[in-house]
Amino acid sequence: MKPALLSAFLLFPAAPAYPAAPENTAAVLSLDSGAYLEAFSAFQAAYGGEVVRYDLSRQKPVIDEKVKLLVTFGGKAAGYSYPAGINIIYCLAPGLSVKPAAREAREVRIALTPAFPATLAKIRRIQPGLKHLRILWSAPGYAPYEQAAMEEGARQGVQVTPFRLEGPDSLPGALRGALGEADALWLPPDPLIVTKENLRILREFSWDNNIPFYGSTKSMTREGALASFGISFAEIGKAAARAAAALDRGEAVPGTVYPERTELTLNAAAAKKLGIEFPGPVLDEAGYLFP
Amino acid sequence: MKLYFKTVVFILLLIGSAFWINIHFSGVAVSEAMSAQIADSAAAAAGDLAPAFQKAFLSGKELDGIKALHAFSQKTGSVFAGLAATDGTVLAHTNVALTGTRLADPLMLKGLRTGAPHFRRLFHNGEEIVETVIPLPRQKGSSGEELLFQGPDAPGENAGFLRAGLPLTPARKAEKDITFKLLILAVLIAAAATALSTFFASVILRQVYLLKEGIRKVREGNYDFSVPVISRDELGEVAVSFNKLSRGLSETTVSKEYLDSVLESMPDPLLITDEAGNILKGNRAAAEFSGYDFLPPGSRNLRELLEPQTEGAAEPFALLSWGGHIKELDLWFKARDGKRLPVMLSAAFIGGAGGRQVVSVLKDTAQHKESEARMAQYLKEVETVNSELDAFAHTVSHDLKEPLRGIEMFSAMLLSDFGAKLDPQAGDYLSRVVKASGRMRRLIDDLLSYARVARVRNPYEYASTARLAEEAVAGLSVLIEERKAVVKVSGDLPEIFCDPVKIRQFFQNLVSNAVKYNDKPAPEIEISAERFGEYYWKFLVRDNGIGVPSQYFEEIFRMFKRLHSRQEYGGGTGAGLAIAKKIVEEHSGRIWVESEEGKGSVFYALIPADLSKKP
Repeated sequence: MKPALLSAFLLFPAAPAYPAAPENTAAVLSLDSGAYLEAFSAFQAAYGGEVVRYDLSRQKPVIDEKVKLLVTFGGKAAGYSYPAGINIIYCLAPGLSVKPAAREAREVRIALTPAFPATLAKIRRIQPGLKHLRILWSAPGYAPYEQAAMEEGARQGVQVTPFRLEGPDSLPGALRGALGEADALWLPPDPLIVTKENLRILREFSWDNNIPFYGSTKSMTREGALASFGISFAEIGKAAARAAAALDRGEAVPGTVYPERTELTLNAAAAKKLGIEFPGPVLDEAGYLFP
Repeated sequence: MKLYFKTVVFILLLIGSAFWINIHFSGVAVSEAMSAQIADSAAAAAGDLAPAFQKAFLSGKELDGIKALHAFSQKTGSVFAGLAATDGTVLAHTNVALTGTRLADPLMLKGLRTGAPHFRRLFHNGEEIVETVIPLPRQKGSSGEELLFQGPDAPGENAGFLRAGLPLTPARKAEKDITFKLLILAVLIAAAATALSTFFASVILRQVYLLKEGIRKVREGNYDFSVPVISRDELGEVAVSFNKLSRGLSETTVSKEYLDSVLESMPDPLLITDEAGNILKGNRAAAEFSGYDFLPPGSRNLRELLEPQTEGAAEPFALLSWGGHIKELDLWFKARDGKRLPVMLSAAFIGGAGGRQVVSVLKDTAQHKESEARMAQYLKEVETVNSELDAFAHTVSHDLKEPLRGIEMFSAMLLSDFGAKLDPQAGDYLSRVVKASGRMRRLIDDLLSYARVARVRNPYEYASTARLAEEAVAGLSVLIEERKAVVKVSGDLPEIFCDPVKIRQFFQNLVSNAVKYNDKPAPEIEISAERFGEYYWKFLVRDNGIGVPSQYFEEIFRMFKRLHSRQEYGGGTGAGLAIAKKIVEEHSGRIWVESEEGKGSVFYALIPADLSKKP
């Protein structure tokens, strides 16, 4: 973690700045610290100017009229109500569903994970014999991706079964349902499911029943996921900067932007419990290996 | 394996077994204690979380149970935990896959049956854990009615059971520490026990070593060796018995050293071989004689060193196998320097059946052969000289007789024709001349007879000595009748291969002597014979005459030896016994006399039974 953070901060000054209008741009952070501040710092460095930021945990933001673009960092920041007509870029907002038709202005979501095809490909590199992958999700924002995930699975020769949980309490039942059906589980960054309790249930279920589960953030790997395919906070900030610059220029930006660089983390203890050996290239690619 | 090592190995096995048993059962005991402690700690932790578990049982929600179980895991480090109803059905489990299943393993059944905590050790996912079943009592209500009917201290029912797998990792370290200390202690005890055992084994076996040394000494022939008795136990008694045995042996047995010294001091070469002729031992004389050291045993074969002296003769060892022994067999012996040495071999088997050996004695006959040749030469020279002497004596005697006959004849004529005319003194002198001439003639005749024995070689033939004796007696009939003698000739005198003329003269001379030298009115003479050994006859001529003093037993056989004056006992010349002796010796015999003065004499003559078979 520390080397990754250090390298991110050292690289920001040298990163290319996009033509931007910082005076018309503002940022809202769910909390002015931790991952939110790390992502914002990367954004500001890449964007090329000082951007006004608001800490939602301290005060309600009063958005200046001249602001044309708002970048949010965190789920709470994303869920806040903003004036119409302002373009918004959502960062670190897991499970957020972006509906372009709901507002007059543009809304862009910076994805927290790589695109599903890339994620599935990486899972197959670790678990070449994978036949059936079950995706556990709950937040409505993931609903639109169900069909695309199943189609991608068919394309890669893996039966992908998205399974929507009614709520956090339904995880044990969902896991029992996966017994004998799934070879692996994948958990997207769904805030409705991902709780400390659930991660522990998942870990014990996975390790005791020999069914690997894959996560989408480094913290999931730390809690027992075999591997997680996510994106670093700095990369998210940089992707947001690129998207903001494009919006400033009036260019077309997709509803969901996938950052270029992904972050792979591995858990050696989980691999040992599950009897899986990481291939050499996967180990080389890993940004972090939990013992 | 040596007795000492066997004893030490036995002791080490005992110590090792005790060592292993100690470590093993101590480990088991420690393990049980640690398991119990872990189970107790888990039960205490479950007690602390009783409200959370109670809530889960009351709500029946799995997640409530899981939260409580996670809290329990957080507190105890359990690798798994589950809540089971009183029938064993899992209400919640850290492995959610087990929720709803029914636990029916022995530990769970035991817990369900007794309602008490239990534990056991097992391996879970490759890790050894303590699995425990902890009953969770149902929390009593605090309503007045419940207090009224049940009382605050009444025993309640179990709401369910906590089933948990607890890691042994912390206990393992303590277990290892305790086991290691026990191991060190056991090693020290084992080392001390081993050292003491080794020491006592050596002390106990000291007597055995002394006995072994004693047996070795006795085996080497030192029968007088005594073993020091250093213990009063059974081994000491064995040592005492051994000493008695060795003393007995030394008193009754010729020691090997003694036998060796005898063999080594023998002047003749002696070799001991096996039945195939391989030389096992040779004495010093054998080594000096042959030049071989005969080492190592079996390196030389006696059969290869011996050769017969005559072509086509039987092989010595074949003769030995056939006859059981060989005596004085003339052979050649091939010495180390290549020389062929003449030897006389005598050999015999020694030892029992199956392990027989052959003891062979070689006699160096080189000197003997040389002496024999020299002797033969001497004999030849003596024979030549004797022959010449005999011829000379015969010639001289014969030549002397002619002038003597003239002296005697003319002296007698002078005495008879002119005796009256002679002076009486002259007549006496002449008469003495006649007598002297006659005596000289008899002497010459006897001398001729003696010389004739050697000079005249009559043909040898088988002749009856009884007949020859009878003829001799007949030839002396005048003398016998005159002396009224009685001569008995035994009828069982043998037939021998001899010169009959000389044997007849032999009898005649002995009988003549026996009659002459006898002062009895009726002399008695007896001629007999008896077998002497395998090859000889012993002839006896016994008389009752005057006898011969013992100092003259040899002398009387010398020529012209007389023990009396010429006037006594017929005035013989003393040549008869000398002639008899010469005749007996010519027949390869021997003559001697045994006599007692005044009582008579017995003349013995030992003559070969059959000279025709003389080698």
